[in-house]
Amino acid sequence: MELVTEERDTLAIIAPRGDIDASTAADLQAELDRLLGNAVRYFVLDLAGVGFIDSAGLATLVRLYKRVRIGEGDVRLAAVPSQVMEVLTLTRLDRVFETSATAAEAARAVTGRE
Amino acid sequence: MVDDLTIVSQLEDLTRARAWVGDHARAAGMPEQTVNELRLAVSEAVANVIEHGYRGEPNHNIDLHLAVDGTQLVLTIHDDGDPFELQAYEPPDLDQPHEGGYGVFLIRNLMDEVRYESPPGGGTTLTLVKYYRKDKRTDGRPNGE
Repeated sequence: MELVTEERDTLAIIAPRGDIDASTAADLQAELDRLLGNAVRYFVLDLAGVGFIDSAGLATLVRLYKRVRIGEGDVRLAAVPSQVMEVLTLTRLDRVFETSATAAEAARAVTGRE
Repeated sequence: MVDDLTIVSQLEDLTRARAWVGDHARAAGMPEQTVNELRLAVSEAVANVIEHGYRGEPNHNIDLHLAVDGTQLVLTIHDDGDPFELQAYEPPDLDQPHEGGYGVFLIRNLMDEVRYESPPGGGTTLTLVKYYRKDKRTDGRPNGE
């Protein structure tokens, strides 16, 4: 899995490419921890390049959700592929995570600039 | 059609196991959603063996056996690690988001049959069964060719 991150003040758009599974979720977690340490509060996960996610990947997303929601931050998923959406639906996490069609739309929505 | 694959107990081998099952499922003519469900189930099962059965220790073998007969795919995963404690399993409360505990839940929901057995020779054998109907678009040929 590769990670491309775009930081804009308190907003970060993270675009993983590849599979988010038990062997790669730690890399995503480390990047999210780094951004949280940089005072990023608004997160967009652009999932257009993700071919597969498992429960370890879900755990990383939920951990981020819980951490940002403690404060005034938020997290939004963008361009969610069908495999990822199926897993979110099965676990009912589709009721937890807001989604947008594109990363640009998600960025506007998550920072309240719609 | 039957096939075997032996991987080692390291998380990097999850990709190999997923690709192996996915390739066979596509070749058998399964719809892409079913292929993805199998890839996820095997990934969760193998990750459980590595992280819990073998407690994260590398260099143990995990043996996978797959049989496809046109109506069902039967996958067995055998390991010699600590047995899975079936009685200890509790499904997650889906009304709350959790930072773990979805793995076995996903396996049970995605597969039509799930069996844990402790064979006389030791270890644990997990059997996953998925029923399917061929995807008419591919007619058993991979990649829709």
